[in-house]
Amino acid sequence: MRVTDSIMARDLMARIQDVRSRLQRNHEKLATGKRLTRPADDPAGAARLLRIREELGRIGQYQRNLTQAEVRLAVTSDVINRVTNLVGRIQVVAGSAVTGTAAGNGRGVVADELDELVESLVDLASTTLDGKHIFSGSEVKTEPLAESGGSYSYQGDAREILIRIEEDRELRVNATADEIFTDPAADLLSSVGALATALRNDDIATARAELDTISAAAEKINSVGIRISQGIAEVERARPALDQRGLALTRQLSRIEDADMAEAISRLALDETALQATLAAGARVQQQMSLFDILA
Amino acid sequence: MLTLTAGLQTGLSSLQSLRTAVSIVSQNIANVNTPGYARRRAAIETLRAGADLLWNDLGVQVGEVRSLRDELVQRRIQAETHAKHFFDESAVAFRQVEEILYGGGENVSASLTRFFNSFSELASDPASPALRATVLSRGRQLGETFAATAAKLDAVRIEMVRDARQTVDDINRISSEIAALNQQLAPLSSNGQDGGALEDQRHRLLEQLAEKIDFSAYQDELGQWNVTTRSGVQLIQGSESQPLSLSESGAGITIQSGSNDVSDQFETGVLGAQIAFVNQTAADFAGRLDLMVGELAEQVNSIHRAGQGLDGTSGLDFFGFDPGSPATSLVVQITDPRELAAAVLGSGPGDGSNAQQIADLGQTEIMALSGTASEFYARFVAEVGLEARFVEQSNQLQNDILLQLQNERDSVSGVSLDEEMVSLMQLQRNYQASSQLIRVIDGLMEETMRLIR
Repeated sequence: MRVTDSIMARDLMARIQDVRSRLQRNHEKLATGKRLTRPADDPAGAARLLRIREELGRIGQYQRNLTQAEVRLAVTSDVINRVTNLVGRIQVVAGSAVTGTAAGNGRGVVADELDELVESLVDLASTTLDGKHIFSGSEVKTEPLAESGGSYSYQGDAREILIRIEEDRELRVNATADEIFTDPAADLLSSVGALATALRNDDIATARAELDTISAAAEKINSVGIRISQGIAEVERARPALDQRGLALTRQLSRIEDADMAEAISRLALDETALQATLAAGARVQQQMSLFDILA
Repeated sequence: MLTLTAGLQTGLSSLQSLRTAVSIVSQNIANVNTPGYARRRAAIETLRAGADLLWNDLGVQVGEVRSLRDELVQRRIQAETHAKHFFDESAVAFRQVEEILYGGGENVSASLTRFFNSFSELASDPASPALRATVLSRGRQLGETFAATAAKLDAVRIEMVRDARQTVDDINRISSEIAALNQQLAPLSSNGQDGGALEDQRHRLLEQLAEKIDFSAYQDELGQWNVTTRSGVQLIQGSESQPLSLSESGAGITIQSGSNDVSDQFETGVLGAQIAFVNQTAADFAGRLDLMVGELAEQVNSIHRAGQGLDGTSGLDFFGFDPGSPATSLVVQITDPRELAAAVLGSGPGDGSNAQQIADLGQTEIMALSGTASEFYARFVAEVGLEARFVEQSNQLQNDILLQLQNERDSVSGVSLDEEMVSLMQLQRNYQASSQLIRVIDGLMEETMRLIR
């Protein structure tokens, strides 16, 4: 082939361009720390990155939801514990009054204490969190219990409050007042009221019957408490699982997106050498003796 | 019988033709870097007075000056040029689209995730006014992100339309210049003469035209280049060029020759890339975005309508949009945060199950999108990436091919300085010898004169 000056110049330019664009690409990798800066670098990888980021965003949300669930469960659990303590106190004082020796006036005093305990229970029933009632089901703006003529009725609804803590897992975070205070099967509040009345009337038989009902209510409350504790346990299990998932995804993200620095640096060095060689060779070829040098 | 004066004549003719030859060499050297320049060669031939006798030769003359060209390689360069420029032009557009869909900052994917997350957050505390306000603002942001994305995609399209207009103008200018050259060169060619610089220019123009479009060209008996598109629409015939015109409508751009729609003639070259991007790619991208936004908004609305707000309202749409162009028109219809239907019908303000249903929509397969909304978007990005990569790789390959062909052309037409140098030396020696000859003959004549005295 007849080689002209233009061919040599063109080839030299093309080679320098080639090495320079590789150099630039590696430089970009090093500067950004990423091997994937535009979808064309790795189209499937780019799609995966978008989906991983979306999943990470979702996991972050589930983690926030977990915190929310934890707060609600903790408050509910705390109230149930206090209710259990009060019910225990009721059983103790009423028990001694029933079996006891203290007749007449003594029973009246116990009955007065029972009335106060009922008030404490009603106070607990209207516990709010962030201005919202926690024992009214979804009717968070409504007092859970209303009194009329000494008896209490449930004002909320039976809706379960669920919080999503994973893609296909929802956690129930509430208990309603009619599970705890006014369960139709074992109505705590009216039983305590009736118990106080019975004690004032020295009606021991009725008092015993009411105490049995209170025991049944206590068991129910206990079972609700267990459900709430299980919820708390589930939160504690779910949290590390989510953290783990997040970590695994972050690692995957980095594997797809991040540049291998060691590789990028050594490639950069190689390309620099290549560029030097190309330039040196080019200079040599361009300066190569031409007939002009001889004639001059 | 050679007379001494005839000998002087021969020497003179030699000096004259050598000077012409040197001027051709210097022309070649001067144009060593001129693009499209084909090196010239002078045909040196014996100057003769008659055909009968050897003794009638009168020396030497410069005959025809010819440019050295390889028309075949020239054609192949034209044929490969349009493909390179097609990919060049497409690569620029795809780079912009990639940046729009995948670039940093507020992209659709991140906005979507935040939007659905805000509903999930609301579900965990549905009565909270702050969370309700957050959902509304995330919804508005989503609408803005879609609108911004659609607007940026459209800006790329508009820019392409503008570029296409410029390209059509360029094509018309080049065509008319070629036609003008055809006219100037026709008489020369019919005499069998070389057009020289004008011919170079015509070739350069044909190469420029090949950047814009794919065409077929043939030379008629007058040496005029006639150019048609691949399937025969006349662009240049002899000294006449047929200008193209561009018109834009909602459906895209149309190229006309006279009153005929010839858009389908241009599938490659810069113009082909511009037409394809505006009429197909950009329309496809905008369509996908519209499909996604429309479906998403419809699904969110249908769940939202079934729910109930804090104030008991129900049956309201969350999003409003223009069905003709959802991506650019998505707005949040709900203005009062209390109207946000986080609860299912008939429940209290503490119920967030409807909000959770909307949040779950983020992971629900939507039939028309054949996957979730974010999967649809990720696929969209991947396809753009694949296309961009294909375009860039093809461009590289095409560059290499073209480089090779240009080298091949230069191997025939290019100027080699060494070669010119050798010619120069030859000519110099030749000149010295001829001068010497004249001096000797002059000596001989002087001797002859002395005989007379």
